[in-house]
Amino acid sequence: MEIGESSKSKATDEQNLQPAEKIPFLCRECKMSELVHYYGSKPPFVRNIEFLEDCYVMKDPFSAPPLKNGKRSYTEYFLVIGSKCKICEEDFCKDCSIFYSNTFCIRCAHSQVSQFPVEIQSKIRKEFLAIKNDR
Amino acid sequence: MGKHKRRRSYDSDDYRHQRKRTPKCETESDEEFSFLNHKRIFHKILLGYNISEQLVDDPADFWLFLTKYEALLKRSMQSVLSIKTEAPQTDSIIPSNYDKNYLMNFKLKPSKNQMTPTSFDNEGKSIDDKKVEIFLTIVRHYLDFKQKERFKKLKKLRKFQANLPIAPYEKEIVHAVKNESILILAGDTGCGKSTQVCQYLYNAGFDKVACTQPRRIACIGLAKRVSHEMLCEYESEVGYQIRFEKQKTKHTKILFITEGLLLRQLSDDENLTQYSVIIIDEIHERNLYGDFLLGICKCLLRARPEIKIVLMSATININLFSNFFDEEQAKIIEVPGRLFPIKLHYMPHLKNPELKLEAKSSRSERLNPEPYIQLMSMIDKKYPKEEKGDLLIFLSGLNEIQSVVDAAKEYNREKQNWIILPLHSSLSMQDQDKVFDYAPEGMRKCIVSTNISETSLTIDGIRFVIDSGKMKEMTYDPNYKMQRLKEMWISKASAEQRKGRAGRTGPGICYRLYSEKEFYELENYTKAEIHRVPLESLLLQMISMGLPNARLFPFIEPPSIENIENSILALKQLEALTIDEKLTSIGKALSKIPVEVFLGKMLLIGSIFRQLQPTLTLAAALNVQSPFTNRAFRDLECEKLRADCESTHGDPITLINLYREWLLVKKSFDSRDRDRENSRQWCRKRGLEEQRFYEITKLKNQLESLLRECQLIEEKTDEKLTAAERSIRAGEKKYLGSLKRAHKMEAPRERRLLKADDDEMDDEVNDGRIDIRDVEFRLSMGSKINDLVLNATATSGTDLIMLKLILMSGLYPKIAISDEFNYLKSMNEQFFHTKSKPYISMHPMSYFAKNFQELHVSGNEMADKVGIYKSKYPLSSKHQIICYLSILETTKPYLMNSMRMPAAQTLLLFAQEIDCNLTFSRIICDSWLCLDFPMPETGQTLVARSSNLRNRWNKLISMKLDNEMGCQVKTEEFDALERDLANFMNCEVVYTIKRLLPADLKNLYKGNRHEDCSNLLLNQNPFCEDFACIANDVKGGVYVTEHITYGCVDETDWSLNMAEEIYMTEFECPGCNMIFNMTNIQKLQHFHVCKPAKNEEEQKEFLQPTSSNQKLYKCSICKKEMYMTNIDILKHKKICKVIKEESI
Repeated sequence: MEIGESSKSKATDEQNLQPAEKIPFLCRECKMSELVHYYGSKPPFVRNIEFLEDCYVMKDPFSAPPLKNGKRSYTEYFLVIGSKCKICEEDFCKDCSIFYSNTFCIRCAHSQVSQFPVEIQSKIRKEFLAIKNDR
Repeated sequence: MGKHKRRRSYDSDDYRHQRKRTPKCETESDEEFSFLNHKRIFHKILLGYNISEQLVDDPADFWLFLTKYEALLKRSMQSVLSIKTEAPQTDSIIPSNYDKNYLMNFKLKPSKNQMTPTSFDNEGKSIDDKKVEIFLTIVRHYLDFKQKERFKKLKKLRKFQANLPIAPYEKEIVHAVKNESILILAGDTGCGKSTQVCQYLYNAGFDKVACTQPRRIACIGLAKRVSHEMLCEYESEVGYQIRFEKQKTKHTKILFITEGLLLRQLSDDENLTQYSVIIIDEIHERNLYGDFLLGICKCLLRARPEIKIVLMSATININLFSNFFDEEQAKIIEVPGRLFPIKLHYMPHLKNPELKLEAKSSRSERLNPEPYIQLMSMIDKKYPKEEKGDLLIFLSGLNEIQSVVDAAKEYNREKQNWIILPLHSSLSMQDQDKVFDYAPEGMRKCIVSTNISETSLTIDGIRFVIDSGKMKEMTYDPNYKMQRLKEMWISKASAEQRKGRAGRTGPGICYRLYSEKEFYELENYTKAEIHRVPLESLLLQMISMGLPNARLFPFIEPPSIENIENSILALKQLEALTIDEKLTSIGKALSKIPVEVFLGKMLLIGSIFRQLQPTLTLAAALNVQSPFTNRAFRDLECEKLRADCESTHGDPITLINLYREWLLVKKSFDSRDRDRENSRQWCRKRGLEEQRFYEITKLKNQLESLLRECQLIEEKTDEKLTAAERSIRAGEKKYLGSLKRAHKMEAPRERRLLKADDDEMDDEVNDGRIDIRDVEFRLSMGSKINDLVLNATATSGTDLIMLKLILMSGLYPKIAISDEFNYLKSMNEQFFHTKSKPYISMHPMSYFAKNFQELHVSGNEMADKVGIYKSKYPLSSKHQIICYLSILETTKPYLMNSMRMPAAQTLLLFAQEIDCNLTFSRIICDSWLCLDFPMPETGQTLVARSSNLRNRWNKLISMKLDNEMGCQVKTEEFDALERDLANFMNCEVVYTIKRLLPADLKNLYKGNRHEDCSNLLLNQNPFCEDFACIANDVKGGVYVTEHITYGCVDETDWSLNMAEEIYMTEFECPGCNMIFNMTNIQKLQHFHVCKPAKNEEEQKEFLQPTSSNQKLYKCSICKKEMYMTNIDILKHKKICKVIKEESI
């Protein structure tokens, strides 16, 4: 049989703070859907880093939050899920877009493929094919 | 979960090797420049001045990356200093030139301090800004790489979820829950129902989701997995609540909870309003609480139509559940499992040689391991070593496992390609965990298991299964109150489950060591738990929850009426229920204590009689699994080391001695003193499982706070500590707290590679990991450990007697008596009898199994013949009875957890029916034990004393329970009672004890022979003043107390003789010094009246006549008016004169 009512919750204050509203993200292409903590270029929970464009950022879900007297770096405490395509201005996840100075979704990038340096054209073509085949 | 640590793509080169090759000369040219040569200074940049400036999580990992990066550049003849640090500004949104820096979506903004290092490197050269910038660019590449890895990890997780067999059913499930009240979801293991359904519902907007699990470990594991998938592992949306732990905050939306705990919540919140959806998982297991919850669901749906219920089961016996919820129109969704194809081979012929070999000596209990070895050798021949896949063998029990393990090890001696691992619940945690580790390349694990790995444990990587078709099942016999562990055939459902274990990670093969025909003859399903266990606790809980009549409860498969009735009777015997099945105050208190009822009763009595701490220890120790591992009784060294903790009183006392010893080791252990033995090592040396002691400690604390809640013990007074002690304690707490946090962030135990020559041991290497159980123990105990040690066990004689009596008060009528011929026989031929079950053996792990003579009456303890009394039974004052916790039948019935008690005293204190003859020289207890007291009046005195003690005992209990602590019972009363009880238990009276058979009973009682018993009706009852004697119509004689019937046992020649002798012998009352010829009962009555006069100093005044031969007397000396008999008057005159003389 079980006891439990009497055992006191040892939740820390941190856990009891109301979690901030999360921002929904939906990738137009693959429909990846996540809730993120921040949209913009300077997430308050990351230090020493600034993003070059607005993006959907979540706190690194796979590691414990860094602590003042801990060992974990505040610099790595992030995970960018995606951002808006510079051309079509829709949301795309990192897999369905390419970053080259700006974010371009694979479709837009493919439509402009000749504008890109040759070094990344093949990559764009390859990923475009992959998306088409998925469909 | 439990995956390989992923190999990084860049860590193949050994950077130390690399560094050696790099010339470390003074004139390092730009082409040869390597950051590794200046590691010290760049490391500083990497770390910054404090944690908020630190650029990477794992600097060592970064340096590995850098090494590889430099090596790559070197191969293409590039200098590390030539890499570009920033892409040129451009106006077009697509830069036309190629620059790797355009590929990264962030820039580093380290603090100014970091960018301008003031220090110099080893050679005294300063580092220029350009190099710092290049370094930071590499850091940027590293961070970008890590970011991509994290994203991949997330995608992989989502892909895994999307590929689960249940994923296509998400919409259907959500729709069903939204539109129906109850959904039955059937899906096989591995379909993902336990992890996904709660997420589906949460995502659909349900936010108070409870999901029950039969096992605590599953609650923790699922909460961890689900929070991982919901990316909130470090938040509290997903929580769990189990017996000892709660991870739940007000933000918790999904809660995994054990079945038992949810049931407990029902008694505070009968409609479970705190939840909007209740998911009951694993209902196919048909365990007691699961079955109970199904009935509760039926009731809940009636009381709260808006509640949503989801029942989840394997795809077996769905009809049973859907029929049960027919009325509620349960929606059913079936999800196919994901199993790889499994080839099935019936191999009954393998068993045949066994029959030939052991045709005659078939009594041999040892299992023949031959078929298993043959199959192992067949696997070796048929399947190349390179093909991975482990073997899982299902056997019925421990002995069977041992014999197969032994034979397999023998077989492996030449082959050297197997790692043999036994698996059963009495293994230590460490040994159990081994089955999850990897076998080295070219080797296979051979896991030899009980049905623990059928459902409770899931081991991946199994390719071969050998199924013996047998299992051991615990059943309960309500008539003998006996548990039975019997080997039997498994059910079809189990057989399929076992087979399925071969196909979880790839195609597999299952060998059944029985024929197809035998398979079809198996029962369809395994018997539900409710048909196999005692029901006292369940019934008590039901009654306290307001379900007064268990006979009417909608059980999916109602338990036998016999079991229900027996359990109700037992509850009445424990005084938890009244005759009309209402909860008593004891019952009310018991229902709140979540242990078996008899342990609960013990706790109640223990807390009332000021033996709280040792009783708590005892109750906790008897409620958790035994701390003895199976090595404990095989290893002589273990036994020897444990010897000084063994108690001659029996196993329960030994248990608390061990616990106390363990506490002492813990207390004296100093982590800085490396040579000192820690408690883990202490346990291992003695064959004990330390986890059990932690569990005892936890349970003990839990029970204590529960008793406090029931107001059975007083609120804790503040610890009496000095300021200094308090601050030391605070510092200690802080330190331990940080250890605990550190542990939480530590990765869970990773799967390790097994060693080929694994033979045992070596787990004790202190690998520097935090022993979290030790930390938690110290955190919760702190300075209390001293009190704990002091109070853990009864030290003085009186305390020990009290403790034994307290245990007895819970255990009675679980008593046994030694067979009369035991004294003639050897260790293995000792038998014991209970009232309902004759010929039971002592469990070999019991103290009394080896020290069986302790229970015999030895020659010098035998008394001389008394008068004309003749008996073939020994006359002694040292008879003992054994009280036990349970009877367990395996190969034969065994008494478990036995303790010895002085026979007559214990019986007279606890028996429900005490039947006596006229001289109290023959007393029959509970119609099965007959005591003869041939010395005149000894029996009578004993009965009188016991009934007096019983009255006082019961009075104190009811005062304590009914007065709700309002009035404090005086400690003197307890002291006096304890002292008197101790004297009583130790008193020496010679008697014989004999077990009666039902046939004997016919001739022993007067019975209803219309003999006139009216002369026995004592108008002045010496046993209990306010109890009016009534005739006992069945046995004859009269009740003089609730339990004692006087004069119902037939006289014998010696007892008649004794009666006459008593009457003829002149009796001088020590109280009044008068001389009488009285019968024994007259004497008792006289004592009762005379009692006040016995104590000459404080003579009580007889202000009212109590008997017709008293008359009013006015003393001329003390001037008092009293009603006295002539004798009393004479006495009074005498005393009064003395007092007067003294005062003059």
